[in-house]
Amino acid sequence: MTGTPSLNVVNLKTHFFIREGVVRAVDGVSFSVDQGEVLGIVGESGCGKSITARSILRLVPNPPGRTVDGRIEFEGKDLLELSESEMRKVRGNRISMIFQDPMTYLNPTMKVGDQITEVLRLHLDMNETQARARTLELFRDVNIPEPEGRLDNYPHEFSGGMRQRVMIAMALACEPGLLIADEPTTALDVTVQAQILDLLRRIRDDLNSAIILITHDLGVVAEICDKVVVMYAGQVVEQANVYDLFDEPKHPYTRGLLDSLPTPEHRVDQLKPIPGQPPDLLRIPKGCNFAPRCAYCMQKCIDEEPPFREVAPGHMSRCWLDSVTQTAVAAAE
Amino acid sequence: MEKLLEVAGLKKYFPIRKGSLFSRETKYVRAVDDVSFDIHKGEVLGLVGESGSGKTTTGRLLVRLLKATEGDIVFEGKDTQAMTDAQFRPLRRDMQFIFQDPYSSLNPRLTVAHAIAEPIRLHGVATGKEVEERVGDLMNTVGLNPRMASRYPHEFSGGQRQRIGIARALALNPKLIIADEPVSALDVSIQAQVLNLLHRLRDEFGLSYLFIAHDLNVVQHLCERIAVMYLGKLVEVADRESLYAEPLHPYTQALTSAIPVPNPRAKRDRVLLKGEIPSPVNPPSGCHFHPRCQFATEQCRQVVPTLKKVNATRSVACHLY
Ligand SMILES: Nc1ncnc2c1ncn2[C@@H]1O[C@H](COP(=O)(O)OP(=O)(O)OP(=O)(O)O)[C@@H](O)[C@H]1O
Ligand SMILES: Nc1ncnc2c1ncn2[C@@H]1O[C@H](COP(=O)(O)OP(=O)(O)OP(=O)(O)O)[C@@H](O)[C@H]1O
Ligand code: SF4
Ligand SMILES: [Mg+2]
Ligand SMILES: [Mg+2]
Repeated sequence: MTGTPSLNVVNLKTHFFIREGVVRAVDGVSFSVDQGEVLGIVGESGCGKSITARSILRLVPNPPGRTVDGRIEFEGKDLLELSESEMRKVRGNRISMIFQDPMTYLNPTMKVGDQITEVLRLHLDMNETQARARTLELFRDVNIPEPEGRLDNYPHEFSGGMRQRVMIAMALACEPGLLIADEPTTALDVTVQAQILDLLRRIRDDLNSAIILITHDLGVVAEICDKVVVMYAGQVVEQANVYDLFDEPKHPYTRGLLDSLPTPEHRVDQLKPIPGQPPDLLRIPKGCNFAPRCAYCMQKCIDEEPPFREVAPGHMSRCWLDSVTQTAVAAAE
Repeated sequence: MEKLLEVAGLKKYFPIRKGSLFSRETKYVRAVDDVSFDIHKGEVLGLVGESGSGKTTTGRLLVRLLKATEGDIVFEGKDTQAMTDAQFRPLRRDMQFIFQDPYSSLNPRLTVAHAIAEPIRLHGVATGKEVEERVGDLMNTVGLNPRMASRYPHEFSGGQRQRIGIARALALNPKLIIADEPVSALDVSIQAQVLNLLHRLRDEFGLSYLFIAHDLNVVQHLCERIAVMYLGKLVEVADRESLYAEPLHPYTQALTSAIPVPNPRAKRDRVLLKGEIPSPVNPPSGCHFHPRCQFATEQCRQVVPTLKKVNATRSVACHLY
């Protein structure tokens, strides 16, 4: 059922303390995701998507990284308050993660089947036979052809798409309440991508899991997400349901992203890239993080940081523009 | 339109040794297996297809980064396969390759000016002060400020680095650019900068491109004709409008239906492909696509379909047509 919150992230701040200073990789991020809901997190490379995901699982390398503020509420607990051993029970069990590059997370010297049975025995206390039977079932669920013969293969004997399916099978082993997928299809072909997205949709529907999908592909977002969070330079700049986001993007950065997309409609005209580059996270500007690249930038944007506020029902944006227009409208009336 | 490049019956078989040391059996990866196509002057031909289908190998064969096993590559009427490396050398200037990865394709120890000047010096097209001027011009052309000439690659963003790669490729006034996934590694807003640039260069200099990509939205944006590759063979070649409006080959149908559309209201009629792309060492009999094709017949299992013209602007290799 949707409407039941699975994860609630409040004012999350994860910084890296390096010689040159403090990298504010995640700087006050808040969002929530319900059971049976797919939340998309989008944004330019380096804006803090992966560090947000890793912060939820408390997998940020420390040092130099540290979550310095915020709450991560999941199934009635604040994950930031748990001991490391309690957290280990959450990871890979109630919350699973799949990564862009499965090869980094699969053990190359271990048969893929064994890697999953190990998880099952560890978290669900299954014996060898039960675990093996369940692994076979999981392989079938993720559409690995001829699953019986495949259990005893090593990761390098699989194609990229199949390895990603093994990762997903492993992530599903304990029927997690929350699945975090960090760019799960970026390295794959569109036809394989379509198969994986189909699989994620089935997981949402059959297990009623909450899913966080990190991607920079707005096509993928439109395809599968119910709700979208747009990040820019360590902050959430816009949040809305998927229809509102594409129909009426509010934040100038989101509009810029949509205008950059090569779509059939954009073909004849030129594409409109966002000028400039994201700020150095060591030297975040004073006012709005997007101000130096924003076509609507006003003096207020340079002086003061815009608040994250509701600009339409259920539609949040971090921009002075809407409030200014609204104030102007109110004044005129 | 005049033909710039004509490719006929192109093959690249990579030998691999399988089994024990004593069996001495050599097998082959049929990376490119009898591929034919043309590129006209000023045309952008897109080459798409599943990972491992032979796109990069095809591109590398054209510029002789690899030697073909068989087939003809005719550039401006000259058969390049008959040429010695020395005879081919001047043609290297006319055909330039842009690499996918803007991070690893530039030497980190060379300044931007050096990187762009390198091909100019190597081919002796300019000397002394002229080189500097040419570098400045090229930087302007690709939208980089010439004042940044003394900086090193790590000081640039991905899109800027990709533009340095493009400036290098333009340095020798080529006629054909082979761009292998030039925007795949980039964010959409940076990707848009590079696509606009490629678009503009074509208009300004009448360049032709072979544009290799797997993002069909990008291909649709830039290419007027598109060739679709599957397991070493071209399965369909068509003009952009008809390919997207009415893909003929069942593989093209699956491919175009899998394109993620950035519109949550778009209706999706997806052809989900079963199974995996088979091995190019042991490709399936008959039509290479038949094990995954929902329309496969006995004929498809036995007879290899050839690329046939179905009308003036398109060809398809499928027994259904
Ligand atoms: N170990 C580290 N030390 C210092 N800075 C770091 C470290 N790890 C990450 N960062 C910085 O944190 C920021 C956020 O990184 P993150 O990996 O979350 O980006 P992302 O949004 O996932 O990008 P991408 O789309 O490229 O994966 C980046 O600017 C990065 O440079
Ligand atoms: N030097 C080589 N030796 C042996 N096999 C090779 C070699 N280079 C490429 N291949 C094989 O040839 C086939 C075609 O490879 P190629 O790189 O051309 O594919 P591609 O279409 O460019 O794929 P991608 O979209 O992943 O870049 C693949 O099966 C690949 O493994
Ligand atoms: S706050 Fe100002 S600078 Fe920032 S996005 Fe809105 S209009 Fe642009
Ligand atoms: Mg990331
Ligand atoms: Mg390639």
